[in-house]
Amino acid sequence: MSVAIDPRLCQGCGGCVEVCPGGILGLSPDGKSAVALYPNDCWGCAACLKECSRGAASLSLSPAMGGRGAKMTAFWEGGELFFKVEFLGGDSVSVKVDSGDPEDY
Amino acid sequence: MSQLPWPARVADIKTGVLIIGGGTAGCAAARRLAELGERDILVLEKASVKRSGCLSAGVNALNAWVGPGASPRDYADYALNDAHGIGDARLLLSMSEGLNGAVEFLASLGLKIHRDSKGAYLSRSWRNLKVNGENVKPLLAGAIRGFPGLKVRERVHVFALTLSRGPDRRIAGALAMDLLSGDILKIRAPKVLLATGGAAGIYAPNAPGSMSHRLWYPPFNVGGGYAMGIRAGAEMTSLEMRFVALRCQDTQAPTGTLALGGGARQLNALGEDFAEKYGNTTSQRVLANRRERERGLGPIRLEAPEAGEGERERALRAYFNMAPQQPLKWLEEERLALGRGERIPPLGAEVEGSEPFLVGGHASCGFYVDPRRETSLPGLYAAGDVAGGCPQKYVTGAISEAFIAATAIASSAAEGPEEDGELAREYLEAALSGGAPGARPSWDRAELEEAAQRAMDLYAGGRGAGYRYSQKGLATALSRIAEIAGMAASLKAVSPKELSLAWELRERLTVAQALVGHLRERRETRWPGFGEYGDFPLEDPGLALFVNSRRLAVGPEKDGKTGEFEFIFRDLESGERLPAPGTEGGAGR
Repeated sequence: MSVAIDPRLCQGCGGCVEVCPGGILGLSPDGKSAVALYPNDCWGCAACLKECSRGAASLSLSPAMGGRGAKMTAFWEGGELFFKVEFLGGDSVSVKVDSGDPEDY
Repeated sequence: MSQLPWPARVADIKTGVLIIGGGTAGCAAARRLAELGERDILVLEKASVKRSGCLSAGVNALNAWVGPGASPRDYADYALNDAHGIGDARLLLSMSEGLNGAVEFLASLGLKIHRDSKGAYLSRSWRNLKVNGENVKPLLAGAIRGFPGLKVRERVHVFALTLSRGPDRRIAGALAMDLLSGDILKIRAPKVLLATGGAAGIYAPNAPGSMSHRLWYPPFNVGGGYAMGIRAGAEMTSLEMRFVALRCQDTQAPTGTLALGGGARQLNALGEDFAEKYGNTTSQRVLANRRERERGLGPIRLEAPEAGEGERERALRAYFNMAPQQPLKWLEEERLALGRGERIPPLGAEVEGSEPFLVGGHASCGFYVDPRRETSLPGLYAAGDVAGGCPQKYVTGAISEAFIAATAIASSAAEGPEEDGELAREYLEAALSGGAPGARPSWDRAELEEAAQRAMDLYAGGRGAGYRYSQKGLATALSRIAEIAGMAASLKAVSPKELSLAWELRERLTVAQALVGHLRERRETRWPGFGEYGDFPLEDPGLALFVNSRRLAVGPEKDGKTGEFEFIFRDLESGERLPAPGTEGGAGR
């Protein structure tokens, strides 16, 4: 599994479809939800996650890449971008990406 | 457009300047041209300018910068040395002179560049600045969207460059398809800048199946710009200088952040730090990793020293700013360790060489351009990864080159020549032939892509062949690729997206044929980390020259056949034509 759109959360705004650098996402025929048309062509850049305010677009690592079921989404809060990683057990961790703050790594 | 299975209209568009590709170089050039007073600029982008190309995921360092005490010449010298001498010193110097201006440009757009308490940039080294650049591409897009004089059109696949009538052909415009409507766009422009990026997917990827697009370089950059130039008879340079990146296994995330930011070192299975044995150019570092694994001393891990307070989180943040799959992997590892009651493993990753890419931002491959970044086709300019002769330009160098090209474009004549209508029709017919009704072949696009990548992998020095190749193998690669190109010519497409994907396959096949010729013609092994020529296993000092090529025919391939290339050998400094090596008066063995 790579990029996935949760049809229960997606409202079909099309934001993810618009930004995907590979054009691999599209809208369902009824226009109610985005769908991954070419999921195996996903690069993993997470552009779609950053557009999705509902957490419907997610990214996970395939088992071959060391994936163990965690699902990554993104959200914005106070103008800041956060990535949220939800593990298989249901617990999760969020990391602020912090494009504004200096860091020394 | 009766050949197409969808109702396509044809739109005629005229513009003063056409920019193909809205990535780093394309956005920078468009903005600079508008600032210089151009009022009729059209940017065509295959994806969306907000997130496209190399910087879709972001960036966390500006790897080309001239720090205090250093000079542009220092950077140019460093880059030329790292390329083992194959680069154009004039291009490198002018690119280097614009690096700090490019940094200022990004800062003016709102990119936060870290400063110390005195306001000086915080650097990772004399040529490397830290940034948290998740937002770099949206910032570049914002610099051109709605800017006076500038039009941006997205989801457009440009598939051919149109030319004036011969013999002194110059650029006349381009042909494209709108990926949403399927409409055909015929664009007339007297001045065109190609900024389409480099090429991924020429070789079999690092890993197949679910990971086949988890590449270092964007899999959506297929070398379309190179292919259009080759078909139009432009002179290309140094395609044989492929780039193999040292990357985190599985995610293909960059390793420089761990190495420079975290002080991490490559260690073999015995825990030995082996870097010193092999030298410190990029090619040598890639070779070091490979040689140690060949000795059976893999896996090779890049390991950071014990993380200090908060350092782990800073590393996660740094990677979230450019390669979000890597911190996802680390968090999964961390969770596993915690679940088992073990201590959290130190920050690090197994590292390995990627498959070879063609990327002019790292290596010297691409269009052969003059100091104004004009190609051998008058009126056609190139900047960024598609432009050759100027390695190690990275993001800021691409911007610097874009500014140079923009200045040249703004000061050149605005009148366009008459287009060779017959040539344009041929291009259009060849591009749309796949949409014609008729019997479906038994193969599909994905299978042909796999076949081409496998042929390149096995016979033209891919990862699976240990990056090694021979004259005999290259001949096999060439005949196999030509055969696959013939099969690809009959692919049918049921939608604009599918037709675009079929074109991308053909673009890769065109590039592959030129590349194999270049590998054959440089009869030495100059960058062993990137490739080793079994027939000529050593560096030949006499081959400190450019290997350039030009396709003899101009126009679309007939039944996929790219045909013959002329190879041109040029002096690195003067650009003068040299006798072919190995012939009377020529260099080399």
